[in-house]
Amino acid sequence: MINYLIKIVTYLYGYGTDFTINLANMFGLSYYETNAFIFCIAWPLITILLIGSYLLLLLTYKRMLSKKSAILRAG
Amino acid sequence: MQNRTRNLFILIIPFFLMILINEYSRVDIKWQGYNFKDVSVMNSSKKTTKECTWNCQNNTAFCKSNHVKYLKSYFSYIDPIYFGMIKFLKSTGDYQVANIIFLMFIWPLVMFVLIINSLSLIAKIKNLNSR
Repeated sequence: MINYLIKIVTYLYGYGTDFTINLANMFGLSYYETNAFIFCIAWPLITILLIGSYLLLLLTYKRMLSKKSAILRAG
Repeated sequence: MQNRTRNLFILIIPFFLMILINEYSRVDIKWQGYNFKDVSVMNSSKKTTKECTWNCQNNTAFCKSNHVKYLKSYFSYIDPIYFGMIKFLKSTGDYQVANIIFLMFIWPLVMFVLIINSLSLIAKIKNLNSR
């Protein structure tokens, strides 16, 4: 069972690494650049933007909800 | 039901793109893949200046000096993050497993949850506006 799991992890790791190598060769970039772009630039930036937009949306929704309930209480 | 399909689509599309690019590239690969820890991989481990191979994964210095074109002047900014991440993954004890768990599942899952929750909030806000 453990050996089977190790094989799956190794296969997934190999497939992921092959993807980065293929992507690099496809766009005339290097493995280093592709990795750096995905994991050091794009993903951190996207994650920060997603957190920011989620918090902003949550704040907007809460504000709107409290406004609506204030209107309902008054009327 | 419509939302479930949308969510599933958002979850699957990056993996689908990965498979698409890998299988498309498989046709053009001239060399026989090498044996990586008893698993046969697509690309070779040949040391060549023409294009990247598994050698670049095992030897970052070679890749940096022979293949990098656009980020040469940014090494001082990117290297600490790049090698910091590798160091962090290695510190878990099993680099490969940590790589799979963190970069293939946890981080994409966090982004997926954030996208889904944001879309759900947008729908709720629209609903409140229309009432």
